[in-house]
Amino acid sequence: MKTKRGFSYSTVYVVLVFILAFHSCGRLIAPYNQYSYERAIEIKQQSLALLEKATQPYEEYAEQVEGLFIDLKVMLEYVRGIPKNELTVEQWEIMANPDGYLLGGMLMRWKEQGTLSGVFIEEAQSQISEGFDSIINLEREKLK
Amino acid sequence: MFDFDGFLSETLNELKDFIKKHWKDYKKDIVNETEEVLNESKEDIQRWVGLVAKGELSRDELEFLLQSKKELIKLKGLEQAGLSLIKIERLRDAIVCLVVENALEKIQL
Repeated sequence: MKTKRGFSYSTVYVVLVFILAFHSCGRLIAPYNQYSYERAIEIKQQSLALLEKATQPYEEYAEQVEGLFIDLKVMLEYVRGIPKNELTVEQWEIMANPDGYLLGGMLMRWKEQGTLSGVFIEEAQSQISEGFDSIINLEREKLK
Repeated sequence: MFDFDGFLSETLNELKDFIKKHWKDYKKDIVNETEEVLNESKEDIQRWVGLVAKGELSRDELEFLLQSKKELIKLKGLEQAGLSLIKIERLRDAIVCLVVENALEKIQL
């Protein structure tokens, strides 16, 4: 069977399949992931709420801080398992790095110093919150 | 016979218009985002220096916050890189749709 222009339907079909296959194979970035998005929001809220307590002695919250570090490690493992997700992985690495200066670094500083000042916490929280917003926004904008 | 030349020239013209329109928006986004990040950083740093002068932040805390600002800018840079890739994917999707639609129109299935 032929089209009005004399092409066989099988030729048209092969061409369209080829175009669509080419189109879907070459993903530049991972698609949207609902779990990543929801966990980023949850970890953000959990982190900011915990940092509020950093004016108090670390020992009283040590268990919660250790729990948060575990959540961050699990999240990192999860995002690392998604192909073409390098940018999101790097964002989480920066956020969670205990030798860095965002969430991981802030928690380590609390651990080392015992307590932190209210003004310092407020300023650092604002940076960490923005960092989480950046991670959340990238995930939200990914194609579904 | 399939009018390949007609198909090519129509598709190319539509693509040119499409890219001209979307690339302009894309460039504007990058410039705006960069300006915004730099302005916000300037405001934050000025406020922190003021807090050090008032004795509400220590020099060590200021240093930590400056380092965190650097990391935040890097994190936002990664976000922008990702958003750029997403825009390219959207552009590519739209181009594929445009090419397929034009091809189907020319073939007159």
